[in-house]
Amino acid sequence: MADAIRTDSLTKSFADFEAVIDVSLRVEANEIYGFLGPNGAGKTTTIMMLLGLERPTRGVAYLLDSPSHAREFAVRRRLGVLGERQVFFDDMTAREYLRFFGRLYSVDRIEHRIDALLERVNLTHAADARARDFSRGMQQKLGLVRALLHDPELLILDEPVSALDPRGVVEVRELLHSELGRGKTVLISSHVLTEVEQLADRIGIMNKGRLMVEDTLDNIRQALQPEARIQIELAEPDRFPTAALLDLDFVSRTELRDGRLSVHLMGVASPAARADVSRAISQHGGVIVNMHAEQMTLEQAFVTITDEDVERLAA
Amino acid sequence: MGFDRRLGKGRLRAAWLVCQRDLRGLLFSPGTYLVVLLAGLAAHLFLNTLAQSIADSGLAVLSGAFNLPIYSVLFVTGLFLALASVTSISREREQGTLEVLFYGPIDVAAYIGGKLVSFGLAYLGLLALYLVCYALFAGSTGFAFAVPTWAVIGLSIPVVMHVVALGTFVSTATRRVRASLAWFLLILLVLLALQFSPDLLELAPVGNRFYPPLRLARIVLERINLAFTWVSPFALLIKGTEAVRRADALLYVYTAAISSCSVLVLAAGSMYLMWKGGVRS
Repeated sequence: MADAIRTDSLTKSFADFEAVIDVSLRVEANEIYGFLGPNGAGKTTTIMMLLGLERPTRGVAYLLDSPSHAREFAVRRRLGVLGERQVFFDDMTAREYLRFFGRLYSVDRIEHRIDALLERVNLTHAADARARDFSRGMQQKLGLVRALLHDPELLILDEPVSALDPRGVVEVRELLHSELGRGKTVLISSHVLTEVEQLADRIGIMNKGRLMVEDTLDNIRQALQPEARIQIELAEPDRFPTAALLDLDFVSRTELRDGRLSVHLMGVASPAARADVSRAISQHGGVIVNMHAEQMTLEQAFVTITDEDVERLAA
Repeated sequence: MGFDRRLGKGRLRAAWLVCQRDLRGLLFSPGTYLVVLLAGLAAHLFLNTLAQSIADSGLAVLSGAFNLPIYSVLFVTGLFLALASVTSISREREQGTLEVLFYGPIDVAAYIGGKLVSFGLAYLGLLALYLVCYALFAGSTGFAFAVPTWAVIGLSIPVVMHVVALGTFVSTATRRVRASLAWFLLILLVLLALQFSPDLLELAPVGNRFYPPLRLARIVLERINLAFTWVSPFALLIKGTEAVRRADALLYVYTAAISSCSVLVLAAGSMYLMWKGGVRS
């Protein structure tokens, strides 16, 4: 499948400071890509270069197979962007603001599209209110509606849920999943790691201008923590032959302590691995009361990867 | 490589949308109404003085009744639009709306073009408003527009656009509203100083034998002024009104053409600066 975004050795220097260094990332079509990094890691500069709003010092970025710096109008129409900061034109209502962008993007049946999207994010009631007076959460939703207005193939979203309440987060999550279902591609840059963990198919983590890692979360976990552990509560733990689980080729060892069975896995505790363990326990007469996978969260992976020691290793 | 018709159409669409948005912004701006009020007061002051003098002596002291009122109104309006242009891009850059706009199908040519057209249309709109008011006044008093007044009104369009394009250029070159205003005022002061300082120095009691430094300064300023004659909107305006006074059609057209060319050069410079400097603050 063609890449929706590709960068080759993208580098940006400001005077004697290198904000982005040799970043080569790849976002496949029809995936949600989590773009992470601490403040000042170079994410925003990278995004600006992707959008053709900053010129790279070196390297090249391609958006939908077109070089970003060309800023082709036809490509812009296939791209939806939500910036980190939501800003609105003076005195325009939400509807007027969206109408302006709808006309800029040559959207057919603008009013119908505006109504449908505002309803989708529960903003219908505020359609004719001045956008600048909205709460931060409402402004963020309105920005998302603007980004989706022309039904773009590729969405680049910078902190799309940072100002939203839990209900708003769910609405946006559902919206993004439905966009993915319609064949769209999404790049999300966010500090809300739990959200990215739930949404993203693949993740890229930047630190100090470099792309430290780019992979699926499971592969990142496996690389950082080669072992995962499943904690199992059994109905009759003492009668269960724990060694039987060693027949599974991904189980490295088992431990029974205080009535709890710990199964150590080589690799990640993926749903498939958990299902195999569960099946094996049942086959040997065990009854599972509770099962809990202990593995590295995205937050832990993020902290580990952005740690300086690991950075040196990765470099 | 031929002309990309779709790109041209997209660019026109984007420019027209920017233009409409900015016109709407000017329509909702209190500054516009303040300018109309100030222009009205200035016109009232001049016309009232003229009417009073006619009532007192039965003589009109001025050759064209509408000259001074119209010139004052054009000056106030031109200054307002210049200040609006000088803050417009840096303000958008500062607020972040410029960046949001450039996420979409728009480029620097469409953006700068749209902005300049909006200021041009705003000036024409205000001019039309003033002319309607003056026409009503003329109808009720019997005063008439002289041909030179029309000529100056016509010349004011490229000259005001010249100042607006200069404002746009400064706004593009700077990142903050304050910096834009400071630079613009500095440029205007320098141009004014260059325009009038040789005349002021001429008033000083300069003797060839006793004050060679002042004489030298005057000569230098005159030379610089000569160089700026074809760049400074003030110099062009003075040259144009002089052409009107002398009924010199060639100089008039030449002045208007130079002003128009300056608009194009400054617009191209603004586009280049924005392309090079980006849209972020």
